[in-house]
Amino acid sequence: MDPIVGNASAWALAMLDPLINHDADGKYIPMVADSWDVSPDSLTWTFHIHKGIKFHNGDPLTSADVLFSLKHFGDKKSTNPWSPYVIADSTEITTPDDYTLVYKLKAPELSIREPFAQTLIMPKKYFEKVGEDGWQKAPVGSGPYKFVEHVPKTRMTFAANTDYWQPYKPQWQQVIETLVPDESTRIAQLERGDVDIIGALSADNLLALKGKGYTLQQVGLPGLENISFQGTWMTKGPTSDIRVRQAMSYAINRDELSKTFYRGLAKPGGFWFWSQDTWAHDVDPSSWQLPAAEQLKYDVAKAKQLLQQAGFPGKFTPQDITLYTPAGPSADLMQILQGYWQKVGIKVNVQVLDTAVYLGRLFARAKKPTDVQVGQIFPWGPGGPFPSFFNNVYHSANMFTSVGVHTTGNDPQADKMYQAALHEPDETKAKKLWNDLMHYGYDKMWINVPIVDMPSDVVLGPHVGQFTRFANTFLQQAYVGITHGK
Amino acid sequence: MGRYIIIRVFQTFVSLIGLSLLIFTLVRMSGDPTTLMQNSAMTPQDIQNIRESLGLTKPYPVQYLIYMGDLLHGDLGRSLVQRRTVSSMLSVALPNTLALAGWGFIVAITLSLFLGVVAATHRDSWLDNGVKFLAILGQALPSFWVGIVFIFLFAVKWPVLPVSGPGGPAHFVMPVATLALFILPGVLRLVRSSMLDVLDSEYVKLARIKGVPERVVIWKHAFRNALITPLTAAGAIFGTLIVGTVVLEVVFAWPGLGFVDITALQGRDFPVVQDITLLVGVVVLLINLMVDISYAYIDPRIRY
Repeated sequence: MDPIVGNASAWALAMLDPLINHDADGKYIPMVADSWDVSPDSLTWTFHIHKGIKFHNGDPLTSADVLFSLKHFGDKKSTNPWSPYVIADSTEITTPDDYTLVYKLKAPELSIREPFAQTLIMPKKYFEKVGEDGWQKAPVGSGPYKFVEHVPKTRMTFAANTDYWQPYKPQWQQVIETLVPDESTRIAQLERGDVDIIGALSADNLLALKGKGYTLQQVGLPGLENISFQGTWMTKGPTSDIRVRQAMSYAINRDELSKTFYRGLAKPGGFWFWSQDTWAHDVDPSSWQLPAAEQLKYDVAKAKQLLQQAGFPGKFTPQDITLYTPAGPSADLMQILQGYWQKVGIKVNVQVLDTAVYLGRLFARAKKPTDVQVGQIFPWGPGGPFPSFFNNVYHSANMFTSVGVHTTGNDPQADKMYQAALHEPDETKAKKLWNDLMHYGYDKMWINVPIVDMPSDVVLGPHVGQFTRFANTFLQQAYVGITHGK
Repeated sequence: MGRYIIIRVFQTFVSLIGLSLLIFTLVRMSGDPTTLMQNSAMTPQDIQNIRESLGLTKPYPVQYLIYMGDLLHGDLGRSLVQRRTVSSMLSVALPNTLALAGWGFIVAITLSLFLGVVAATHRDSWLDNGVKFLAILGQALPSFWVGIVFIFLFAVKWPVLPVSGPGGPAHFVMPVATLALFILPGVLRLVRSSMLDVLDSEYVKLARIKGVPERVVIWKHAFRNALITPLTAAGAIFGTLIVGTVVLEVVFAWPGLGFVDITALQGRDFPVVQDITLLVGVVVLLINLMVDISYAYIDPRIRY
């Protein structure tokens, strides 16, 4: 429930309001901040806080709460991926009055809007009074739902905040989230009418429930399924040669995968923030078509030809390609890919790792070719949608440059292009620069192999009506806009 | 008997120390928990600070002494992932598991004893064959499948029971029945074979020749002597049930220890893993102690 605690912060989205928000097109819109001004040098951001917002305990929401929330969210002990950007890039944050907050940056950085949109506003006075333990037991926000009860590993209960300050109000008096790990049990609960919404279902079950008359509802943007060659592309071994990486891409029959493994629910895609269905496409809709057509192509003959040109496998030492994956659907998919690769003559050893070990390797920052990460390729499952173009700017660093969390690159040109896109104060120019980086990443580096876009669907029971509010990340963001069914 | 109990208690204490050392070492060998707490803004110094704040930079013997000292003061530490005290997590999970395991165990043992005796006393009859068939079924069918079938039949097809989750008595029926079916075969077979051995012994034959009523022969003379082996097995089974119900906890969304433990393992949340494993170890050791003491009560020949 604390925004700084990884995925637990999803609950906070139902109870707390962000500083600014996204609309369905990925544009930034006012929320707790009614408006914001950016100085001509793009270094000073002034937020005007909405007057009259009250927390659930009756305390007024002021700039002191916003300042506290930014610092809390930016705390180094946070495991939320957005936290590092909130404080690290600022020189000073001040509150000249109760409803104004001034944020100063070290360098122009348009993308900083995304961390602002991820910053949920907490009541400073209450948090300081009850401390972290007290907050976990009874969090307080200003959002559409109030905290009622949390039974760890069992359920979370919210009650509607009937005094919600926005013109739209929650329509369900109570929302109870229950943790039901088994898919069959969740389906049984839906069919019996015990629950109204279930998620995390396989393609087979989604289609089966749809066939029984249930409604599929997409939450957020599609998940991106792809493979990234972390660390390996720059070093020795077969995947250090771009032709081998290209051959691995041409070997995959994405149409077949979409129709069979994903039962027609997915479609070829899965570009690292560069797909038609993510907000990134508004950069230049035509520009990604060319690499997309090439990167999604299935061409066994070309794959074999590339391998021959690369001298695969004899030329390489070591000759093995090892792919690491967590257990579950991702491992199933990797075994199918293994078959495709084998067909063109590439033997890939797929190793299924315990989730903790997998994540440990995924987040280990490789500094030099001999670091532990070298020699691995990783699958990126549909881990959730990506909220905005500016989110994608930050995350591009992870895939293509030497400064990201999952550092893969040692390409000075990619680093330079990323820095240029990150710090360009003009939005149009910034998008162009980012687009150039994407082209460089896909055309010249080829370290990310897209596979499919997979919608993140939940299934609705008959009591649930429409989803009228956009949820870009988690279902909890949609709660306030869910209507009753007929 | 007093000397026997004292020696067994001392042995249990030594085992506990050994167990705590083993758990402490193995958990630390599984990897660095700070790996999952890092973000891109952290410098190596920040990561070092986290390690220091968690006491991970101290020598292992010192870490162990601090850990044991905290345990003796009732401080189980904090979850690295959930940022709440482990005791608060266990206070919810442990009663749920004990309730499920306890009822499953009671139902299974009661049925095993009764059916085992019935089968043994009606050897090769349709009753005996029926009980053996039940035992084979229980052994052959995986618990998660039985649980899902129960849910489909009794919560969806004929909705007479709730689908999942802890709650009133009705919530216990399906998970307890599934668990009982899992425990039943092993103990039942032991009771049956033990009873057959005892019923074939000289003193039972003598009792029958003397004209002791069959009911008394079976339940007073034979049954008590046939209990030793099943009792040992039952003790061990209950110990493993404390986390062994994890599959059922997943199917029936039952928030018990096994479920918490699996989640903690996946997140390398080692204070939680450490405490749950130690707790299970303590329960198993205490149960073994009680079983051993009950041996001495049942069979007066067992002494040091």
